[in-house]
Amino acid sequence: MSVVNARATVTQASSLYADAWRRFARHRLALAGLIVLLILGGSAVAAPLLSRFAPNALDLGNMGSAPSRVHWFGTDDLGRDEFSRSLHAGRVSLSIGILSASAAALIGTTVGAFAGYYGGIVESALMRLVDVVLSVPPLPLVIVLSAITKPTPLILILIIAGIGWMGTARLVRSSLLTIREGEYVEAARAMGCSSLRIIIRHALPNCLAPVIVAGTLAVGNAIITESVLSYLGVGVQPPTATWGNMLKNAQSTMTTRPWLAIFPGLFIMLSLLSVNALGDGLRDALDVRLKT
Amino acid sequence: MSGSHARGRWFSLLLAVAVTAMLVTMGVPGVVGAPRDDEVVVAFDKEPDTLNPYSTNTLSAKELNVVEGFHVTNDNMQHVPRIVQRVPSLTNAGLTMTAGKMTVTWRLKPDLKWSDGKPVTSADAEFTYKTMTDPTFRVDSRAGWPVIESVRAPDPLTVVVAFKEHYAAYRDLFRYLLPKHVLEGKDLNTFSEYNRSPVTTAPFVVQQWVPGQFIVLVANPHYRGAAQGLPRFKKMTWRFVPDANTRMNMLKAGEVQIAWAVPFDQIKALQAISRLKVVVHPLNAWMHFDFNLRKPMFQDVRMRQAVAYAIDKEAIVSQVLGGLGKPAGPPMTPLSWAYNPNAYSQYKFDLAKARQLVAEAGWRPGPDGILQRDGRPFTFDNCHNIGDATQERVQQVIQAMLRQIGMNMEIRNFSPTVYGGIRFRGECDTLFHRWIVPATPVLSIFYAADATPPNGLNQVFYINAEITEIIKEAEGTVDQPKAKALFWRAQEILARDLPTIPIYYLVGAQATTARLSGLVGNPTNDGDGWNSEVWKLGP
Repeated sequence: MSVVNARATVTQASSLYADAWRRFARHRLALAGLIVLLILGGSAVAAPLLSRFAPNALDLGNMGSAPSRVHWFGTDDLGRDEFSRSLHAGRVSLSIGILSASAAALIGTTVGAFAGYYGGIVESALMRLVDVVLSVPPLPLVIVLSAITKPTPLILILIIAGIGWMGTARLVRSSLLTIREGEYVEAARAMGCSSLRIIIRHALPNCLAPVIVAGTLAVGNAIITESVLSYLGVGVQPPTATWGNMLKNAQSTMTTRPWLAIFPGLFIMLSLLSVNALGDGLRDALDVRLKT
Repeated sequence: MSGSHARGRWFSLLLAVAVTAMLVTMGVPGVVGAPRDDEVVVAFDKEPDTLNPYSTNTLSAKELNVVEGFHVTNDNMQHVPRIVQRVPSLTNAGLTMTAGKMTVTWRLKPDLKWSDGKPVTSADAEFTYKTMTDPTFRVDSRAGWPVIESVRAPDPLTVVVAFKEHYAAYRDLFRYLLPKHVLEGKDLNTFSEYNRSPVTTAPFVVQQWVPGQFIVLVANPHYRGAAQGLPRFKKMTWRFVPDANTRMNMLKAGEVQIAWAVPFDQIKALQAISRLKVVVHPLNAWMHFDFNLRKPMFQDVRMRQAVAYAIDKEAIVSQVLGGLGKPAGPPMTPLSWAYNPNAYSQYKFDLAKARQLVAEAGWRPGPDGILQRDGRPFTFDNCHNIGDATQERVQQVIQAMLRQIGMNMEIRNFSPTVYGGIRFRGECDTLFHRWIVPATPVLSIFYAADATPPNGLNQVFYINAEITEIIKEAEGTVDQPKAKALFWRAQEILARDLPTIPIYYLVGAQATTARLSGLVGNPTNDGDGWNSEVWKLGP
């Protein structure tokens, strides 16, 4: 009996993520967010299959037509199919969001881990760097950066990641401050593990939960930043559609052809809401102190 | 207990809002009070920096009609007299030419008075010349003034100006007359009394200027048309509303009677409202596709010709612009006397011809449809400034049209300041650009060999000694028929060499209540307010 019990305890302890999933699945809003996000992502990936029209194909004889059976979301000011453009825009907007948030998380984790683990002068230098980057107003910086470079999606990902990693760095550093004093870290050090190995194998897995949560929420921020940049005209260049530049093009015809603004706006809103719900759910799921 | 407290707070908050709203509306003219037909409120797009027209490049003083000079160019781009009796020319003996020099004689209208009641005399013209050649006066442009040798005032109404050389743009000088009795001995750079409320011969004078909010103009009591009831409006309020949507909404709501600078995209929507009127008028301006002749892509004229044949200007104007504009020929608008209607007429939309030229130049479509030669794709960039949705739309249509003949055009748009630097450094392969020009025809600043940036606006880096000579001679020829022949020849050469392909001639638009009449617009930078003395409300 006691053997069985002990085994049960072991099983439970080793299945942190199974446990987390159980808690996540109970968070209905988060689950809904995940599903919406999967649908958005899936339709973006499958855009060429789902839409009958090429996203950049002009049809000057059919400009600004209202939603119909042929053009589900209507056509824009150059006769391009709004449905096709919305889906294809999702490819750009979502991948910029996800990739730049991942890149930001990677940079932030690296900087934070080194600062937290080594302490001393390394920490001071890295954290002052964080302060400096944080003190630069992000939007003007991004506008200048994308004005002097050619704003391709890759450049935008780097730019958005470049202004979004500091929060994660602070988060990871503070976790590392606690973790590095842990007995298992001491044990690893006593066994002769290198610092790098300790950081990667022992420290980081223990502070991954907040990074995942912050990273998820950062996806939403990145999508918004991309939209803002494209809206201002310094984002992805036409004719490539993104939700942001579709909104920008719709601005002048907001009263006469509202659907041109509504659909991309709806896509941005849906993806943001679901990303935030997802982040919320993940936070609850991954927080061991909330264990039930 | 806490509930009633909360209610009390809400009530006082509401009260505060209501009182503030009342105070705000009371402070803004044109909102409260019955409408009167001799008053009008304009939603204007920008606040002037100064009303001294020589020290600024904004047109505000001109648009407000609070300054004037010898002539103005009207809605047909003709020079018409303002405070002078006639426009001097070779035919009316106001202009005499000798070898290498010329003399122009202006006669002021008799009995003119400044708005403070003092007489206007030829001494004011002398003073204006002295001021404009005074290096300590910071002016927007001194163009033309150094060509003057002397200004004399033989009698109070006669102004005799001797020029060092033949100068065809003489009518663009003395666009504004400065009052000597007010300004003599003053530092015009800082003399805010004049700069904020000019003493003038124009129809209106400034009564009040509240920075950030509005300028109130009233009729100049000494205006020469006062006996005929001019200006018709006794009071004009120009409110500063930078946001275009707000301006149009104010007009729709009846808060203002005129909404300045209608965005192109809103013209159609406003035209559909019956109690409004949209004045659409041609501008002396055009959008054009410029080749950077320093770059390798378009060295072969056949590739430039292919572009000219592949762009369907008619379709752009009729479909993308909804007919608001005109397919362009040469880089000069039909409003100009120097316009050559035959130049560029050879380039009718013809895809077969375009493909043939491309093939002759040695480019063949690759597997993806994009032209290739020696394994290199025909890819080039096209730069433009961010901000005008319509122009960006046309740019994308051009992109699609050129893709049909296998040219891969990549759009690179920049904020206006960045764009300015980039095009002057010649960093783009091609440009999509707008030129606005004065009434007096000008080509040298765009296409003369010595006008490449920073010396001029030859952003196509077109170096051709023949055309440089012709356009300089044309611009220096006062005799119009002779000048016209030279300008025609220059436009033919431009059509042959194709450094630039004009796409469409632009229009400008103002929106007013349907009850307003007299506003006809102006194609040049004399501004749409140039004749505001005859605007009126009602029948």
